[in-house]
Amino acid sequence: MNYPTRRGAVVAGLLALGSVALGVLVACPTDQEPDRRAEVITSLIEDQLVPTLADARQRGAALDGAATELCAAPDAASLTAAQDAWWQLRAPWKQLLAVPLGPIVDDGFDTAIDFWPVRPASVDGGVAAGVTSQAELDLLGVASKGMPAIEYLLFDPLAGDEAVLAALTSDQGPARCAYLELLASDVALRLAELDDAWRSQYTTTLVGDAYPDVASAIDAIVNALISGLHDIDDMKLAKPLGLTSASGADPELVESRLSDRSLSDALDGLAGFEAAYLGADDGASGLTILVAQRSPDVDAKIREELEQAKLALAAVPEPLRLSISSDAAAVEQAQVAVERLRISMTADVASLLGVTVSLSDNDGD
Amino acid sequence: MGPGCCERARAWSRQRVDASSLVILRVFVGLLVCVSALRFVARGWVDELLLAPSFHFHYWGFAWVQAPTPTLAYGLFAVLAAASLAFAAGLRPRLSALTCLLAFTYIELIDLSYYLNHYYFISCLLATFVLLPPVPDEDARVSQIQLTLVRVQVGLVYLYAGIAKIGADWLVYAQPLKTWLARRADLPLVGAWLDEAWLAHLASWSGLGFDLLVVPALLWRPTRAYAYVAVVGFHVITGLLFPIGMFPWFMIGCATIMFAPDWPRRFMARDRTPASTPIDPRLKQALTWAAGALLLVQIALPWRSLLYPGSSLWHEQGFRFGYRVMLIEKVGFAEFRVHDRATGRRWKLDPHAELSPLQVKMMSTQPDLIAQYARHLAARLEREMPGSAIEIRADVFVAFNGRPHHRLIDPNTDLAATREGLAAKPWILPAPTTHPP
Repeated sequence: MNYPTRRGAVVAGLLALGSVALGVLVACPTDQEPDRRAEVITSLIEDQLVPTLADARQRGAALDGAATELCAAPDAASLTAAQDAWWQLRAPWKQLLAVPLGPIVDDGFDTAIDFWPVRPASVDGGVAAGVTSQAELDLLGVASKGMPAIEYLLFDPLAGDEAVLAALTSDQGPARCAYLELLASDVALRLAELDDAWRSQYTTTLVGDAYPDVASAIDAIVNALISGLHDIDDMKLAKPLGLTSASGADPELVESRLSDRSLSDALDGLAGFEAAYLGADDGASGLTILVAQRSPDVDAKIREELEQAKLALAAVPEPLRLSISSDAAAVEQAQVAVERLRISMTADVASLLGVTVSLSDNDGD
Repeated sequence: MGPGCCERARAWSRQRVDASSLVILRVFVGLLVCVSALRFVARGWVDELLLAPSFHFHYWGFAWVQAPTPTLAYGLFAVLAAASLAFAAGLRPRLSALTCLLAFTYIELIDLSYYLNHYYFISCLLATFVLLPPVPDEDARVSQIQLTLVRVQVGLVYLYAGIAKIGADWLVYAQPLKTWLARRADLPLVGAWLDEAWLAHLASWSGLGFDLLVVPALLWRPTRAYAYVAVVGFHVITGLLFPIGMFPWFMIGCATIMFAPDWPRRFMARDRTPASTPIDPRLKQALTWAAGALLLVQIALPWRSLLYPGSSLWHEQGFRFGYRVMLIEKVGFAEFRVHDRATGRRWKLDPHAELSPLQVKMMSTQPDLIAQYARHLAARLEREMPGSAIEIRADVFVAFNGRPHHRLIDPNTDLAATREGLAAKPWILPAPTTHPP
């Protein structure tokens, strides 16, 4: 046995193999499209989240001003203006919640601004307690404040605007108005804080302190989109419809039931999803690029299911608080359509992009 | 095989070999088990994974293993860490290995959804060490059979990992590596290549070759050094690319058992390891047979998946305890439908309401866990609603290795009425016939 010779042969063989591998590596033409994940993330942040948040901040300030004017001179015109301001703020806010990401959820802004369904007793408790300062308001729980609490003070679907105005001008009117002003100011403040938090803490690629790499940032975005859809099909539709409990339909669980903005809230949520998925240029910069790179069929399916969900939601008769009983089939059809989209996002998109990778630090192999 | 052959085999097994490679392995394993235990505590997983969930998935036949109280849970980890250090140091090796085995395995048995191949491997390795403690006899040596049994124990992981890769998904479609490597396409220098299909194919075939050849390459002296460089490179790369915890470090340590038995002598001036306490030779022989039987069980178990019709990648029957590592990228969606026969009412239940995100994630792709949770749901609801008669059905959709999602479970089967066991589950729907992208 000539051991050194054999070792030499092995070394030579390995070197040859390594050379071939290196040659293949260098010479092999690239057949893949470039990695566009960072571009998709940047577009989502710069073209959607940051402008929508700036818009919400502006509209929050407008609501604050409208509430002040209403309380200075409570009449039908100022009430309508305040209601309009509240309604206008819902659109960008609900679009933001379609991608519950970063400080929106991490710092609890979602519940601080929009804890629902509203609990009238908690809001009345705030009024009765005579809370007049931000410091006192900060001590109250999320059920006593936020946009649903403002909705409770501005809308009455049964007794109408006259009853709202009567409440604001009654003996308890000043306390009610002071609380309303404080709530509107608090929402404006929270939106400003959220806007500042985004700008100061998150880069336009999301990669940094928040997420260690591009893959983690994409994971977070896809999971946020799935969570946003879950909010629509489960919280906004299935629960009020009684699909998730043995107790049947319950209008008390309908979001924005006092303003009857429930279906618009859900449609705004889907609009937020659509903007994130398709991107600012309707398909040129959204998540759709990454999905289509892996599977054009799955991308087409997502687009089709999104359209079906929008159509099914639009077909539900207004208001939702009544149609969950009077036209439950239409509501259930909308719920199923949104859930179908969520299933495809959860299973197909996540699988294609390796998002919910079957590996995590604790499930290693 | 004639009597001469048996005689030669018997003589070979009784040969005396240097114990130092086993001693080094003992130190590796003891230290790594200790690090694993401390890491588990430091990352908050005791609270998050063991204490917080109100429901745990049990292993078949181990429903009696209950989630521990906080004191007991932290106590178990303290005992595990202390015993593993004692084992590494060679203090009462059989007792310390037994303590490690019991504590480690108890923790492992608390929740089936946390099953990991390398947890199973460590339990088996510790059991081997209980039967045949890795300490030298009075002559500073051990029997050839003792060393061989440990080598086979370690080699099984690679061999079965390799066998499991022989399939179309891995070899033809390079899945799931194609998906996983593309996730790291943002890495500097090499990132651009990780999104390339040809690299995923190259990595898949190389992975297969590595798993099947690395043990003989480590055993054969001329290739040993290169094979170990490959072992280190392979495990370091997979450890960097994928979040696979302690697994790479265990295998880098354990692979040294394939070296010449006396390899540590080059680095150890004097062996200070105390000799083992002599025991009755017949008892020792019985323990050796028991260690062999343990290995035979491990060798046989992976093949049981052949008894179930269809792709085990899809239905996962007979999938566990088979060292099928890193084979599937699987994502599922599960929702349960409740029907109370007593009142006729129907409603849906989202498992997130009771289970942790990790439990939901793992359950959503594994039929036996889905059925187990359905039975638990029915029992819980019947307890909460006296007089009710609950049926549970499930809508489960699973996408694996890049295929579009398909239903995993027959939506008409009342899963609450299913029984736990090893029989084939007729309510699992066939695997999709589509190919991965």
